[in-house]
Amino acid sequence: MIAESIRLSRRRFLLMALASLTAACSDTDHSASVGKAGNTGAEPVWLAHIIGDPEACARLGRAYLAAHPEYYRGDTLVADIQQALAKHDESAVFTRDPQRTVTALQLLVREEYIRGEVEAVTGWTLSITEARLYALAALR
Amino acid sequence: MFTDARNLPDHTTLEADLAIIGGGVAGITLARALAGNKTRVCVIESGGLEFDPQVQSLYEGENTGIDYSTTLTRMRFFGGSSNHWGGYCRPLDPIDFETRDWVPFSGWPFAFDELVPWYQPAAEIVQIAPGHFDDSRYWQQQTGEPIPEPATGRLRLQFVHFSPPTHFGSRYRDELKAAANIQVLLNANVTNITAAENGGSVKQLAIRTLNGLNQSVKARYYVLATGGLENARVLLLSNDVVKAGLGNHNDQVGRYFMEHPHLSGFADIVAGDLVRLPKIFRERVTVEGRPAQVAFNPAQAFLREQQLLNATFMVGVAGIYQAGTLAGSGDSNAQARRDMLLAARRFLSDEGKTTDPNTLGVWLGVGGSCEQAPNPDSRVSLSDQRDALELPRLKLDWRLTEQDRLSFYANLRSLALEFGALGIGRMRETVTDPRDWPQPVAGGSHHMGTTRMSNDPSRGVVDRNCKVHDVENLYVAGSSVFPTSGSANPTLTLVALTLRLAEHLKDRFR
Repeated sequence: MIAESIRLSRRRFLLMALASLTAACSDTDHSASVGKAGNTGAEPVWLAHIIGDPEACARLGRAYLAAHPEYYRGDTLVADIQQALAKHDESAVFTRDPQRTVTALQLLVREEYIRGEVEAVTGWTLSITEARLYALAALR
Repeated sequence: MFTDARNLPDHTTLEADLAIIGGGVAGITLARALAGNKTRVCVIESGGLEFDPQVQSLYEGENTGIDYSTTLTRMRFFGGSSNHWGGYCRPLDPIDFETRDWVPFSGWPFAFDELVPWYQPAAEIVQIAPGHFDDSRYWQQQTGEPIPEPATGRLRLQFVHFSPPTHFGSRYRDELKAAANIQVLLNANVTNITAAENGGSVKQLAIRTLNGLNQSVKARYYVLATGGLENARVLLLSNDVVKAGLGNHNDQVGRYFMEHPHLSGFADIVAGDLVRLPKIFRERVTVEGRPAQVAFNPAQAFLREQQLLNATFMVGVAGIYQAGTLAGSGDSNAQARRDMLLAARRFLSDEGKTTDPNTLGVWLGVGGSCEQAPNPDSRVSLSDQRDALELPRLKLDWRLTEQDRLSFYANLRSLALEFGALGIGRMRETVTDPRDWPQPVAGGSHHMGTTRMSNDPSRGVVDRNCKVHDVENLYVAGSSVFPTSGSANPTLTLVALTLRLAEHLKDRFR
C-alpha cells in the first residue's frame, strides 16, 4: 500500500521507526538475527533476510558510505530506509513479520529503478534503498 | 547474361533502358525487380564474381576524421558488401522518419507507413521471417518462455531477425543470368556519369577497366547504387559539366555522412538467475528455422520526452559464475561482478536461490549501436591521392557530436534501470569520463546520408523518389539516401527502399 498522502514529520517518523525496530528485535532470536549496526545499538531484524553475502554487501556498502559519510550513523540510515519504505508500503515498516518487510523492500527497490532513483556505487547502478541496505551491512 | 568488360573490344558502347551502377545489395535488388519484363537493364559492376585485391584497393581512401577503414567496411565485387554482411535485420522505427526538433536536419520526405508495404518483400529477399519485429506475445508463444515486458517506460523490446546472411551475388546470380532482359557487366568501373551540356540529364556512363579499356553505356535512366561512400564519390568525380560534381549544385553531395557508432566493453551486466532472463534476451533463438534475438530499443515516447537520439542494445552471456568458487579471483572486474551477484542475490532470484544451485549467476556483455545526428561537417569529399584508374580517392571525415555521445549515455542508463526494474540484473558502467566516448568508436560498416533525401534541393541530393534533384534521369539507391540513420541495421530498409524505387521506375517505363 503506497502511503504518499501521509505526511509524517521526520522526528515523529524516526521515533516510530525506532520503536518498531525495538519491538521487532524483542520478538526475535537475537543470536540469529540481531547484531550491532554502527551506533544504532541493534540492527533491523529484516536486514539478514534481505542482504546477500554479508562480505560482498559490505564491500559495496563501504563504497556507498564513503560518498555519504552522514550514514556512518546507522540509525539515520535505518530511518531513511524505513521512510522510503513507508512511502511505498507503510504497514511493512511496522510489521513484526520480517519476511513481509523483505518483500516490501524488494518491491521498493524495483520501483526505485522504475523511477530512476538510483546512484552509482563503484560504477554499479543501484537503487538508493538497495545501496543503503548494503551500507547498513557494512556497519554490522 | 554476364559479360566481362575486359573482354569487350575497346570503345564498345552498350545500350539499355536502365543502367544500374553497382552490383551490390541495391543494384541486384533493383535488377531482380525488373527481371523478366521488357526493360533492358545493364548492371555495371566494378569487380568480378570473386574477391580481387586489386579491385578492392580501388576502395582505399584518405581518412581525416574518426579512424575508419574505407576498405574493410565494404566489398567491391558482385554482391557488394553483402559478401561480408552480418545479417542483422530490423526495420527503422517510425520516429526515425519524423522531423524531430531536437535532431538537426531530421525528417524524411515521407513517413514510416510509406515503407511498410516494402518491408515484407524485402524480408523475403534477405531470407528472414516476415514481421513480428516488436511482437513479444508471438515470440513468447513460439519459444514457450515468458518474456517480461519492460517496466520503466524507457525501453521497448525489438526482435532482430538474422539473415543467413544472404550473399546477394551468389544467391541471385543464376536468376539474373537467366533473365533475358538483364546484362551484368563485370570488371567495369564507372569513371564518369557524363551529363548533358546543361547538367540536367545524363548522356552516358564512361567506363574503364583495370586492363586499360574504355567503354560506355547509354541508357534512358540511370541508378547509382555503389554504396554509401562510393555514391557520393562517383557524383563528385562526375564534374566535367557541373564543376562541383553532378547533383551538387547546393554543396550537399558527400555531406551528412552517418554511421552507427558501435560500442562494446563499456558496461557489464550481471544476472542472478537465467530463469528471469529469457534465452531470446541473451542469444539467438531459432523459430521455424529463422533465428531472432531481442534488442533493447528506447521507447519512442521516451525519446520524445527526453529529446534523445535512437539506440539499440543487445546482450550476450560473456561468462558464468559458479557458486562456491573464486573463479576470476585476482581480476578486479571479475571480483566486482561476483560481489554484485553475491550481494544482490535476494533481488535477482526467487528467495535468493538460483534455479541452478551450482551457479551464482552470469555476466552479460553489452553491445550498443546508436543513431548519430545528421551533421553536414561529417562528410565524404575527394582526396588529392589517386587510385589505379587515376581517379581522386575518397576522403572521409567522419565526425560525431556531443549530442550523439550524451544521448548514448542517457540510453545506456535506461538499460541499467530496466534490468534493475525487472529484477533481472545489475549493470556497471566502466566509463571513466563521460566527457568522452567509452572507447575508440567503431562503425558497423553502415554508410549512410551522403546523398540524402529531401524535398528541398538545398537540403538534400535526391527527392522523395530518390531522383537526383535537377537531373531528370538519374536516381540513387542505397543507404546513402537515408536522411537520418535510426539505430537499426540499414540493409533491410535499403532493400525496401530499392523495391519502392523499382516500382517508381516501372511506372516511368510504362
